[in-house]
Amino acid sequence: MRKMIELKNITFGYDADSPVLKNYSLTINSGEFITILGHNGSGKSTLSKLLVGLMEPQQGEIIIDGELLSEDTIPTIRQKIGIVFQNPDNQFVGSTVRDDIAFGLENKCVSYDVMNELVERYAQKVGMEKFLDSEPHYLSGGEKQRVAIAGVLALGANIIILDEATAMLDPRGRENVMNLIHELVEDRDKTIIMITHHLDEAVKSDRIIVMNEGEIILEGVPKEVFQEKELLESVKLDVPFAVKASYELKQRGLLKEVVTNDEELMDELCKLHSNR
Amino acid sequence: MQITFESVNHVYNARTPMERRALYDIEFDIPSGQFVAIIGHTGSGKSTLIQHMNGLLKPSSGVIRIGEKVIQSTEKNKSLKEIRQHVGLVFQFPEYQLFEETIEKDIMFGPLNYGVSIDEARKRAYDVIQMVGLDAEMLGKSPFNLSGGQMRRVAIAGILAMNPDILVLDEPTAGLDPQGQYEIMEMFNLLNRQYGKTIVLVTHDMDLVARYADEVLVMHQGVLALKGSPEDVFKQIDELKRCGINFPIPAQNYHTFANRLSLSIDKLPLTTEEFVDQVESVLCGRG
Ligand SMILES: Nc1ncnc2c1ncn2[C@@H]1O[C@H](COP(=O)(O)OP(=O)(O)OP(=O)(O)O)[C@@H](O)[C@H]1O
Ligand SMILES: Nc1ncnc2c1ncn2[C@@H]1O[C@H](COP(=O)(O)OP(=O)(O)OP(=O)(O)O)[C@@H](O)[C@H]1O
Ligand SMILES: [Mg+2]
Ligand SMILES: [Mg+2]
Repeated sequence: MRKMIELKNITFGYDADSPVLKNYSLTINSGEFITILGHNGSGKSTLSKLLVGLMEPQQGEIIIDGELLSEDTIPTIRQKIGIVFQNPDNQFVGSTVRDDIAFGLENKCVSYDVMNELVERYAQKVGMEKFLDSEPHYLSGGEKQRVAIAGVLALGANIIILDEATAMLDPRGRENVMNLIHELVEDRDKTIIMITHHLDEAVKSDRIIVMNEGEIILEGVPKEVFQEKELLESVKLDVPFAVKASYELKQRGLLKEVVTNDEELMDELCKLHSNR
Repeated sequence: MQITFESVNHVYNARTPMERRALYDIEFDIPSGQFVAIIGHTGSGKSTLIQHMNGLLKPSSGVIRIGEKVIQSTEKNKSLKEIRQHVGLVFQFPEYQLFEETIEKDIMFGPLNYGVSIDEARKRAYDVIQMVGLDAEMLGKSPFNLSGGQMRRVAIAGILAMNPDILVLDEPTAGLDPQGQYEIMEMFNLLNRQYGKTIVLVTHDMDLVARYADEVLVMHQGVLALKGSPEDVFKQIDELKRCGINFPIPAQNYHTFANRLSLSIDKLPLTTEEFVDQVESVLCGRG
């Protein structure tokens, strides 16, 4: 497997005496879909800002697609990364939704027709095709997030970072975005980093990274990570519905195993019912 | 303090090419001390609606009454100051609420503006910062050098410091970590049950609606489509589908479970506890 992102012993603090990330190391492979969980202030957004070179670590190295991140390589590396920041308003540059989705494409030497086609396709994918001529700042919270996501997907960058990009979506919008992400994941040509507080979004990722006070305290496939109910609760996190329900049903002597997703829960419950 | 909407309409950018009508003849009332949830798909008009509750937006036509006070398109700013003392609103994007150099000054601003003494305002800042789960040591920090979830907590603290009768919260749990979501919601619940505060909660989290709300308003394309208790609203399966609303996760799962086993459904469980109880009674033949 090819390494896409390598963080080697990163230390970073906004002021040098109080590091936010402490001797932080993480490797992410090409085509991998990872979810980062962690309490408020645990350093998730800081990490994503370091990855796009907005700030420089005090110690350690960041290697992206084989290239060491430095002042010289930032421009080429940024071309490979699409990021949605936590507040979409900080990111809007166009005076219309159309311009905004097109913005990143303009530096990519695509023809006007191709660009237009891409903009319309991605607006449609997030259900914003009726808003192409609206001003981004005049949209509702969820509409803004949809536009920001369309923009980053239209770019077609190899690495996609979504920093709580779904926090204000309605449940249907969230399902839709998760489906778009899963389509990308199936093609395996994008590396996706999703930062979220919605545990159900993490269930289908390849790997979950759990952060606490600037350090990784747990990582693994969702099935393993969500078995650690008590540890997760001790760092201000929680487990998804299926885990909670199956945990309780296990306590009551009905289920033998704790399961991680809704489909498994349904299968187990139906099995129990037919064996009854 | 009762909140009443009488045929409230709102049009953004009226008489320009960007004109957009966001509210259509909204009518309802919220009695003092109620915990109300407002739900609806993206763009259905929730944020527009609640910004009328403290006069941040004025209706294009219609009347809003907050206790004895009136907000209408012609209302002067004078009564708005009084209304805002009673109605605290936390924005969907908290950073727009923050502006001072330090968190402490930010939280103190509201109380000072309404004549509270400096000592009292400082004491309140010290108390409310802890109510939102942040360390009092942070008071000297800039509110802009914070993480997303920390900013939301500070914005909530600023409203708590005003001690308003009505708290209007636009997705207050978005961006909070799971424990923070739980603690903040429990705090609002306590303010409601113990101190009689009216709570108006806009949320996409149906589990919170099921757990905390006395009453639910469902918005759909600028229209108030449904109103009732969570039990009643979540019974209206077809109407909710039309409005693009999902059920709480336990209810969705129970629905799948019952369908797969061809069980009849008397009542959908709205919380995880109810789900587990109902599944247990089916599996143990008590259902
Ligand atoms: N611009 C800044 N200047 C100084 N300190 C900052 C700045 N931005 C964040 N911090 C601090 O760094 C720590 C990590 O913040 P970060 O934004 O990375 O957290 P996060 O994990 O993304 O949290 P959240 O879930 O709330 O978004 C926090 O304690 C925060 O207060
Ligand atoms: N300042 C504005 N100018 C013009 N139109 C606006 C403005 N703010 C919102 N709108 C439009 O009015 C409609 C209602 O927006 P509102 O923000 O009330 O929705 P919402 O229900 O809060 O949605 P969300 O769940 O996404 O936050 C949306 O279609 C939006 O595009
Ligand atoms: Mg963050
Ligand atoms: Mg809104």
